[in-house]
Amino acid sequence: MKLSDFSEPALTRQLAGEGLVLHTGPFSVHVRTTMSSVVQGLSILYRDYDVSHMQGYADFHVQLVAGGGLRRWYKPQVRFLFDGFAPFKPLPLDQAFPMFEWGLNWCVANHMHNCLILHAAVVERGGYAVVLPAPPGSGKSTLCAALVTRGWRLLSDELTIVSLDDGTIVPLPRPVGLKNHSIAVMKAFAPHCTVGNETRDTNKGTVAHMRAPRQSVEQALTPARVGWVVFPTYQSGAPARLEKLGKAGAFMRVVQNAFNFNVVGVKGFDVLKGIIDDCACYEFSYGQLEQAMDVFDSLAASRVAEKPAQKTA
Amino acid sequence: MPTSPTNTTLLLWASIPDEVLRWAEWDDQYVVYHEDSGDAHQLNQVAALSLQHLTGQGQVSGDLVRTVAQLLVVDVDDALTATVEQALANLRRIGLVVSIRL
Amino acid sequence: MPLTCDPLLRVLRNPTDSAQLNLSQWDLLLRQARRANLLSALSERFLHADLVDSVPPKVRKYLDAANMLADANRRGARWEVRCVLKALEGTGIPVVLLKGAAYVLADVPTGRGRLFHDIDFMVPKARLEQVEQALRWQGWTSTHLNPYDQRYYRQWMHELPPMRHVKRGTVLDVHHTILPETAKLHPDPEKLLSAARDVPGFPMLKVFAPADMVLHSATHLFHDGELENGLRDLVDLDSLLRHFGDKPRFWDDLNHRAAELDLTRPLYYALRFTRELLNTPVPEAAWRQAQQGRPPVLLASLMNALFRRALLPDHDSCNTWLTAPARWLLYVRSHHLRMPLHLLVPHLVRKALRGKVDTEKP
Repeated sequence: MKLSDFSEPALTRQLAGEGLVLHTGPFSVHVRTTMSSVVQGLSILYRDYDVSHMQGYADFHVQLVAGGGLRRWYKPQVRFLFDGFAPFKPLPLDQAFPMFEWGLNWCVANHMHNCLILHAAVVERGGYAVVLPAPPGSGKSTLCAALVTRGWRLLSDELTIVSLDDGTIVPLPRPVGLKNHSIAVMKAFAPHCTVGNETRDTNKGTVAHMRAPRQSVEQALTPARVGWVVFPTYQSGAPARLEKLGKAGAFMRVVQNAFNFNVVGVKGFDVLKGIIDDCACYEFSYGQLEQAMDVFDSLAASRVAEKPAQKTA
Repeated sequence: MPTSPTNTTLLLWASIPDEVLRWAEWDDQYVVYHEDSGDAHQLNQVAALSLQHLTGQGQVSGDLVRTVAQLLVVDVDDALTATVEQALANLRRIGLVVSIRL
Repeated sequence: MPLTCDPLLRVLRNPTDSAQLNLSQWDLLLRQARRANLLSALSERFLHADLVDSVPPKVRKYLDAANMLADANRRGARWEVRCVLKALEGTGIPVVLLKGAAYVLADVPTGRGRLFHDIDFMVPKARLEQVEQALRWQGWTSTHLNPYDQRYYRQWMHELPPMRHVKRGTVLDVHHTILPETAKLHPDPEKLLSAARDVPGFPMLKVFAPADMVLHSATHLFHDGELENGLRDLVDLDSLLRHFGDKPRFWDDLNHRAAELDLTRPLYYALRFTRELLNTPVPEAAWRQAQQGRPPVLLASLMNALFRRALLPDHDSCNTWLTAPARWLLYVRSHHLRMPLHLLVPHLVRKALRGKVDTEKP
């Protein structure tokens, strides 16, 4: 069944009671909460996802609960619990939904050491994925959000999961995080996209999440090969510029953006070497989303012209 | 932080065992992965050739400079000597070569 | 039956029991093991018993992941130890590794599937300053910079304030003995150091002799008492006892050494709880001899009630309403055993005021 099969009152009851298992990419997450902002966020942003009753097994068991202590009377807080244990400090109550998203990222990054995990957005077209590794503030999420409203498939906006078996990307399509002015930028760029409620004054500023395209969610079990690694930088007013990057340098920059390169050891090195061998690496700066879309369209076209997406690892 | 000895000509240089090293090479730029420390390092050609040549054998830096010159088909000069010695100091700092005082 | 922590204890005792688990028991096993920091140890036991293929794929991927993490931890520990040895090369001071790093470098099975952050080692007290200096030269710096903490460590503790490497971020705990100077028990560090064994392939590196390794682990768990990883530490003991227990003179040595080092009480608890919770094989004669460390009857039954609760993982499925008070009492006890009351009370007050009671030592 889909999450949209629940009316909001039914969803509220379910999440307050035994909870609901949400299936996102390869993960099943058992969610329980009584917080209305989380229920609302889920019903807006996760309506296309498969859900099931808690029967037997879930990868992660999470809860969002009100913070205890005296503070609850004058400054209510929310806590993220991973199976009863709080990996983070509590946050102000109105940040409950973003905390759910951040908490889920934590679950994945901390438990999936059988994969190489990069801090990068990743989208796919024509069978090839573009990995966009970048530190916060580089415009990576905005670029990713824009691309997925223009026919690219969302694999992930924050955590790029690389299989150590064959170097393909394991999709984890979840809502795309937008910050500060990029929220308005996206609403203007793609008026039909659905953006959830804004949360102000988080430590990242104002945040909101954009719903992942339905097709991306439905294709969550189809992996993709890496065609390009592109390091984006947003520069206000700058023309879109794509510059070829030396592979050794690109390799090192991907490593700097990996969460667990030292954990995956030799396997990680070999897999990443294979990826860099087979893909093209670029530095990309842009000031306008429309121009950026053109550049990525021609990237995708070049790969199609070059050879059909048939090669296997 | 330690400083490197000023007179490197009296040192015998050797690489750590190569079974803990993994290599990648693209257009004369190299990445070497050191399994023990878990670190990857980007190396230029001189550093990579030096490290590869030191694998399994010790050499004093003068001999190594000559070897590198042959491999690159260039003449031995002060600039090359300085580049090799700089590379050796860096490789020692990141734990990929050791030096033994003769 | 909450005190059984099922299925984790059952599977640790007998990995083949996992064949009978249904999917929701696997779910619970995974959760309990995660909380107890025992996932990689569990994975190691499945590997050892050739049971990996019978683990449901959903669970298996997390066991594989835990294995990757444990392997990385082991590689990292080996490398860090090499760095320490290099830093101390000129001093001629042998390094005696303790705890997790010792299990890894000495290649005892306890070191497989064991996660730890800090590298603990011991040097003679008289050489402490020299060691600290040499480490500083190579980029390790003291972490607790406020004067109170510095004094707390240097005056009362058995170790220097932890030292963190500026580049790698790794942490060293440099000990000069195994219990605080202010503690009630006083095992003689000289005896521990002089019995230490060489580590093949690593000149200047040593680990405790088998009996001492067990006694240190027991002391750390039952006397020095941080029970956060209580079950993990008990599993260490179980694994050490199983590993060394085959050697002919081990059990005699163990009891003798406990008497010699003033550590018969921790040894008694160690044998008692590994036997009870993990079915560790302890020869009858050795168990009888270990009664020399048994506390008076009333105390013994109180401690039994407390440890039986506090040794289990802090997971909903293992907690009862008595678990929290048991943990708290043992926390207070461990501090009381560390230092006399006139030092302890001001120390705890200071910690409470800083709001760090549960999160950070000291």
